[in-house]
Amino acid sequence: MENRLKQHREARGWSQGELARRLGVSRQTINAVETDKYDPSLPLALRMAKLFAVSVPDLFIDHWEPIDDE
Amino acid sequence: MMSDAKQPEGKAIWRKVAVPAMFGGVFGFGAAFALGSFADVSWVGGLSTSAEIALIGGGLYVLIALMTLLGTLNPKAGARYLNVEDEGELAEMRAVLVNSCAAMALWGAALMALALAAPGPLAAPLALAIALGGLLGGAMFAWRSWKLSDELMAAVTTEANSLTALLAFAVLGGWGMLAHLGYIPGPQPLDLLTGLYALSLLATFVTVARRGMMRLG
Repeated sequence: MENRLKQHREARGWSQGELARRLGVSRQTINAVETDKYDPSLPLALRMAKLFAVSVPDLFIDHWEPIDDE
Repeated sequence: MMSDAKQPEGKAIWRKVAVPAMFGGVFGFGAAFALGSFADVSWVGGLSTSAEIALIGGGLYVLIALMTLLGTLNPKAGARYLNVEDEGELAEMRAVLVNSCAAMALWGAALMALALAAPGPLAAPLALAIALGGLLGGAMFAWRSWKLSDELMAAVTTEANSLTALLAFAVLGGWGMLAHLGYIPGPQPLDLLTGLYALSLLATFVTVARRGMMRLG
């Protein structure tokens, strides 16, 4: 899923390793999310959003729109 | 400070792809040749083709496990030939990798023991004991590795297992189907085990590559 994790991380001046350490995951996980090879679990997405003080939809971009039945 | 993963460039590609590939190729070929020669020595008693392939397959599992374990225990050297970004990553993954290596080595030894029996230099009860011990011991280490993994590694493990099952249906099931209809010779019992080992390894490589974990830079 398209996301802004890298922008938020770089804005804090953190390496992937530093972010991984803060989130309690591996660097491979951070790299896979940033390169859109892996969608994190909901708990991890929530932790990421909390860490950067943004909402999950601000961090992960979903272009889906609900169909208007009316 | 730990660095970020980068895209491949010039020397980085050489260092991270060509060198490990050559390293793996040379050691893999050497091991296969050595095991093939071992299977031909007189006291082994001339193994069947199925047993020789199983012996080589099991041996490759053991070799991969030992090379990865050596690299994990010596991260500076390991970072040069393992699929990691730097030695820091090996240090971070140490507990997971050590348990994975133990599992892989035990599973490899189990297949080798089966290859050397019925007929072969190992008595069937001894081979069964080694194989069961290896498979169960390996499962225990694999479980510990899985429990120590973060969510990406756990997802990769689950996905690889799922892909292994699909490949087994396609390859081993297809083989059985064609053999049943008389188009090709049927698999020997040992071929089924060797096939599962090979397909599991293939599924793992495919899954790791799909998840962007084949580090190129």
